[in-house]
Amino acid sequence: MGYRFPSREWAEEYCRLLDSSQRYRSSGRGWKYPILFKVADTNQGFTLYLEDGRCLGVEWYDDASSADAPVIISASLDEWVEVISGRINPLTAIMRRRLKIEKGDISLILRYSIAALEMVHVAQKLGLGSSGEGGGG
Amino acid sequence: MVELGFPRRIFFREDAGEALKMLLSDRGIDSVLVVTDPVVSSMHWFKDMLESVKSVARVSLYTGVEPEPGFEVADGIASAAREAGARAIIAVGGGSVIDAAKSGLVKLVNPKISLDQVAPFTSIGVEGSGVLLVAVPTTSGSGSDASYGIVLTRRVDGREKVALGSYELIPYASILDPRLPKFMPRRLAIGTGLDVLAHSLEALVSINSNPVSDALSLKAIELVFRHLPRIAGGEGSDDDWAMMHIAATMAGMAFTNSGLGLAHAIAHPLGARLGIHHGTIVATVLPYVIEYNSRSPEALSKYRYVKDFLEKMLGAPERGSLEDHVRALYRGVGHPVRLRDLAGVSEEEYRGLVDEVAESALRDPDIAFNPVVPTVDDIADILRKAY
Ligand SMILES: [Fe+2]
Repeated sequence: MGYRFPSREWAEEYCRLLDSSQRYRSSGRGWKYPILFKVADTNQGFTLYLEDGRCLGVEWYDDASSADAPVIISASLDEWVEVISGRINPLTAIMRRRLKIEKGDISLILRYSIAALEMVHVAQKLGLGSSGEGGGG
Repeated sequence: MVELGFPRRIFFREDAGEALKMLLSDRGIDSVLVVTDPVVSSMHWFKDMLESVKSVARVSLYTGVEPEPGFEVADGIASAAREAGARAIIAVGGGSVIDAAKSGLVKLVNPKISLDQVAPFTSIGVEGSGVLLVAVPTTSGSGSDASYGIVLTRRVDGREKVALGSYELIPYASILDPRLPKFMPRRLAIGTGLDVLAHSLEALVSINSNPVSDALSLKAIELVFRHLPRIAGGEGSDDDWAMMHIAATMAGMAFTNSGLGLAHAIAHPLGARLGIHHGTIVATVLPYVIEYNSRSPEALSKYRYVKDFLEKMLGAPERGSLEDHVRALYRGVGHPVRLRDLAGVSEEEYRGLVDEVAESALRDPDIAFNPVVPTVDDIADILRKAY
């Protein structure tokens, strides 16, 4: 592996892994919305085109400040590292406003909480790259 | 770190009418909408209470809340409140009435919002509106007088229970008059009382639990084990009723500041399919969920803490597990320990529902903070065992 988070390569590999996860396939069934993930302190971000438990594609932004998607989740790099490494549950992070839902419907996200957990699980498999954290999963 | 939310004021006293008078005068409110259901509105004490309120404010009434209200109730309450120029909505009833009033408040202060958009940090505008929500619970169960949640039933292609929530919907005041729950039929007192137990035990092991929610959960669990059996046996003292009443509110505060879990996630779709009272269904599923969640070391250690407390402090006989204590409580209050003992469905019919209910439970927001992340097969297993 060894892709660094956040990067275009990481996002593309993440989408591929997500698309091949059986658990994400079943828990994400019914979800129809692309999600834009933003790293607040570097302004980078990527949109995952998620549909019915699949990841159909990814778009990377060196500058995501004017990018748009039906759901936008933003956090500092440190917070993303906490979530991806599994030190904080993503839904707890949302409830404690450490992950900020800039756009989209939290109650809908909570209805896909198992899918959200599976997304983190897949991210853990990919790891965080040269920052040396994460892995496992 | 956590964010916590509570009602601003709680009156725990034997005269809801007096408490309302005090509250409205304190706040200079001279016009209110009282929301209730047809059963409550026919009671003598309700009429007496209205007389008290009328001595300080103009009172309009909305008495049409049905059991298991649907989304449409919100518009009815909002337009009644608007017409009355109400500065407070006073919900007098069980969880359904209080939830209906919450949804009405949303539509009153923000007519354009769809109830589906109500979410924890979505700004609804309640706090800036100056309209107060006051809850006077008549059952000791839902905890809705202290909680941020709304459960409504959606009646498009079948019945589906939808749980919504926002911190702005925690009532401003909760008025706990322990005389009121005594008017409940015995079966409802048991069902709602066991819902209190389910709220406390789910809040206790939720991954969002914290010292404040733990304290509230643990005391509420103790109060249920101490006081519900006497109420169920028909020999409840004033103290038993009062303690169950405050326990329900404490459990509501606990889960609002922690979370619920798998028992509620299963109970919402299952109760809607079978048409069985929420407290009854959630209680029946609960011991199986405790057993399942015990694979989480954190949850298990909290369950053991409760088990030890029951045995060492309340003098309960030693039992193998917490779920055994819960089942013993059920036997003591005459509540079924299996779904087959609840009237209504044949085994065949039930087996046909399992997969569909498991799928819906997986989509229920209450599952988000359960200590163990279940698969759809795990939930189906629990459902089969619980029958
Ligand atoms: Fe409940």
